[in-house]
Amino acid sequence: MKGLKLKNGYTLMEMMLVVAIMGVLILAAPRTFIKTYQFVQLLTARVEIQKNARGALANINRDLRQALGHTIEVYELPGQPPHSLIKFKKYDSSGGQAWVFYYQQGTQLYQAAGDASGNILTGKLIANNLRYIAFTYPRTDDDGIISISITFEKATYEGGTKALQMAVEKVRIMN
Amino acid sequence: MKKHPETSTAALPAPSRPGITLVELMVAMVIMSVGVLGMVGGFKYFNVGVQSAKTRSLANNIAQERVEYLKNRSYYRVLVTTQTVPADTNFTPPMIYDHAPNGEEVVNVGGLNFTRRVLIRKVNENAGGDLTYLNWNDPDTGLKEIKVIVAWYERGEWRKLEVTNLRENPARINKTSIIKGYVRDPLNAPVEGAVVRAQERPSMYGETNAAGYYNFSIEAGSYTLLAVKDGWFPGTLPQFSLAAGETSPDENFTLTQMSSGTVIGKAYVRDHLVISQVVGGTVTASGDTEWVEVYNPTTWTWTMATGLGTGANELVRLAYKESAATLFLPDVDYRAVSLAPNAYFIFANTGTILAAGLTLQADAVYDIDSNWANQDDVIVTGSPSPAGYVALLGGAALTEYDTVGWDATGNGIGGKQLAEKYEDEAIEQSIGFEPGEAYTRKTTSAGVTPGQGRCYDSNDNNEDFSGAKPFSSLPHNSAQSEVCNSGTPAAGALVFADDGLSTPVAADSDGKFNLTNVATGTWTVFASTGLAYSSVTVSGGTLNSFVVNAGNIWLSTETTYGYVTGIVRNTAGTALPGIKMFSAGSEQVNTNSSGRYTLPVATGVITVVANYVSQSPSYVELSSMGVSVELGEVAQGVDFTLYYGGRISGRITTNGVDPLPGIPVVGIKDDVEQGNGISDDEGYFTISGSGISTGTYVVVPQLETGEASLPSSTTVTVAAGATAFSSTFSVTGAFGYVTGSVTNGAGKPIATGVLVYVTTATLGAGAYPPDITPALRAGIGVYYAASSNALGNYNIPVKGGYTYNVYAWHTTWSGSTPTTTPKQALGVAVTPGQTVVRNFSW
Repeated sequence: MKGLKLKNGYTLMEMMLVVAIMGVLILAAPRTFIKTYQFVQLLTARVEIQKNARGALANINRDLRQALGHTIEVYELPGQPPHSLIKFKKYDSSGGQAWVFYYQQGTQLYQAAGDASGNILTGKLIANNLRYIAFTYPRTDDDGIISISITFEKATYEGGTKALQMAVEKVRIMN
Repeated sequence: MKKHPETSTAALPAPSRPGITLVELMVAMVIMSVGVLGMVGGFKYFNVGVQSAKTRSLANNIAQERVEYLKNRSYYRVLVTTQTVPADTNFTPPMIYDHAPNGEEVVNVGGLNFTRRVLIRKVNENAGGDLTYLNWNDPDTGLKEIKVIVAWYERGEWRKLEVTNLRENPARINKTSIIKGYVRDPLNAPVEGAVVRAQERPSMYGETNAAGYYNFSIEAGSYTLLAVKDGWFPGTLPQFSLAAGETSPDENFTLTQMSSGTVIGKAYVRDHLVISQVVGGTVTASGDTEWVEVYNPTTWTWTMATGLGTGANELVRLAYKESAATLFLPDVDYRAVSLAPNAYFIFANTGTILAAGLTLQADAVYDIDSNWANQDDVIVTGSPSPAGYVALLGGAALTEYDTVGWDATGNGIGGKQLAEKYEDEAIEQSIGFEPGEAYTRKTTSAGVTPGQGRCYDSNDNNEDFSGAKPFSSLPHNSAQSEVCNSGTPAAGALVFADDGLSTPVAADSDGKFNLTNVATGTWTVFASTGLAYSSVTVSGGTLNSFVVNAGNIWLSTETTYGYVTGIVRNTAGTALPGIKMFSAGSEQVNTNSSGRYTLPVATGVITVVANYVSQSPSYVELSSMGVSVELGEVAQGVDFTLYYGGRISGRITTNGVDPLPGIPVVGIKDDVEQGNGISDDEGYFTISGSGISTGTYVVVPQLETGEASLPSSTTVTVAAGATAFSSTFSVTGAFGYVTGSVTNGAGKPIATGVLVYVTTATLGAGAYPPDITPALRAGIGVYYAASSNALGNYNIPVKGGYTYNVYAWHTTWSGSTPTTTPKQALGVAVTPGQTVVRNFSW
């Protein structure tokens, strides 16, 4: 028998062990995948909202500071929530003046320029997932300060939990 | 199955390729798991990084908002932090922030609680252009630093973000001019630590450095300078004017130091009766006469018995104890009951003492066998005789006033060689107390001087008594008095003078003191042991290096106080006599002719008030807080500078009648704010304090934008000691608040934002708010608006005194289609300063 090499097969026990372990893994895997997926979704939502909120506020803030206080108007596009649009004239980089619009259209925030007579031109999407925006004067007889309240909301998973950020900023109008 | 033998018909079999064993597979799985788990762990840090950036940027927004809000208020309504304790020890170093009047608030954003705090401080721009912080109760310099701190708790740790901003009073005058110079003594040596002050602006001053140089920045104007340093005569310079941006030429002072010298003396305590002589036996023809003489060194009369005669009438009585024998408390027949200051009182075993040619009536006769006819031998004498002691006891409690004990170390009587009671050391005797021997208390430490009170008492029997046989110092009775020149040396007594230059010293074990560096002039020197104190007036003359003996100071007045000394001057540096000084829980004293005071005060940390209740009406009342004094000790240098002062009063109303509380009012003199007050619940305000000196003031209520006052300001003249009524101001447009919560159908707060408008106008049912156009803003109707916050609350300040309509719009979304539902609350009356609550639910 010298030199004869037998290849031992897996025993039944080994096979059953393997099958059992794999069974456990397979059962656990979807749950882990779902959790991971939800986590990633939540994370993505938060990051996106964060980006949106920061970007949008920074944009509006910067422009509003350069606005000519007496040119500001607040209203809304037809069918949209009240006072979700602001229109104002600001100094542009060449020293001239230009109309600027920020407004809500559905759940999106747009920025638009205006023509010479102040009519709104086609807007540019600057943020999604907009839940609420309102431009308010704390008091209309003082046009030196305006308050922006903005909320972003994004569905994450199973329709239940939502990432939400609300920010309020008071802006001093410099001109 | 049959096994095949190995054949050689084929080539060598291909080398067998071993499969992966189960163990290898599992090891591989384990390694992979570690890797995968590691990656999952990495996700956590990725998340933390994102969160961290998010919260920091949120905190920044929250801080910025507060800064904008504060900077948008009028300068005077940016309220300076007055209370900063306790500090937040979650931070290192502990975070100091405003507890009052601004307080902190919690802002919830994105599910995180941010605590928003502020710290608002007055700052001063010094000559170098740097900013220094001032106390909140210092005069306003027209510049405030606003620091907003947002703190939050994240991942087991407190974090913070600070935003700092300066708020300048638009009416502030820049301190662009500089006054500088040197302060030197007559020998041209620099004087360090002198304070040079512009009298027209007492809040502006400089202090000289080691080179005698001072400088300080100030507004343009005309100034008189005053240089002051304790122990030096003050100096002034005539008025000069300074233009904006100008630096003065060197304004130099030559100050002369007050001369000083030394006060020496001795301090004694005299607070109890002393046994002044003991004679244990004379062996005369009429019997063995013995007596105990008592002296009263105190300043008051002692009552020795409740009545004349025998019986239970003893108040002060004798006791004698022979060593290793029973204590005798003989019955006493009092022939006199009172013991005047500096007088004697003699207890004897006979009514008439005949000794050494003297006939003396006893004040009290003592007896042990109730046979008053015979002379009882109470005090055992002999050669040899046993040791013993005599004690003077008082009252039912038999308080020991004084004790004299004597030893008899060579008497050969076992167990009776040492006195059982004595003060420090018993009188050293070999064979004991002999007949014809007297123990006489010394008149001073030097010995017994005839004609002086026998009162030297260093609480050491052997030191204080001199023995003589036959006795030479004759006894006295209550008809005789002699002045005491000593007492108990007040070892360790605190001795100080009210000259403002010297520092307190302690008396040595003999009661001697040596108070150096006392300014020339006439001062009061105090000595205090904490239980008793006394004072003498000492004139140090006018020459430098004087030495004056204050003599003996007898501490005979009981005290439960500590002391505070100092000087009160006016702004011209002149000492003010007759200024009432007060501290709670003690008597009031007036400053003396040199403006100095020594105030007995309750011990502990106290507040000293100068010119209490403005008793001198021409000056303001000032207080010095946090003076720490221990029993019998002295806190020196609590000095005051009083301003000529008065008060400005007035009233703030909404309509001339109804009060408007909480409106700050400032008094402005020469375009600089000198003081301010805030209207109380009845609308009255009083501007007082260190800044309101005499002169003409413009009184201005400090209003928010949108408010108006009638009159807008008034001018009043404040005379010394008078209250000038400025005006009744009517402030219109003062604010009230509309506030409330917004909730959904389930009663949960709406966190996404609800638009709220408050207006006197009436909107149509279901209508949107009007377009806010330039035309609308220029119109007469005012709209107030805000969005509710993440906690579902809103707060809108509106002009008080009107009835408003409140409208709210909540938008819900179905996909990208909005549905906006309005709500309203009509007829909401808002009064100034009040808050009206209107909640909305969808």
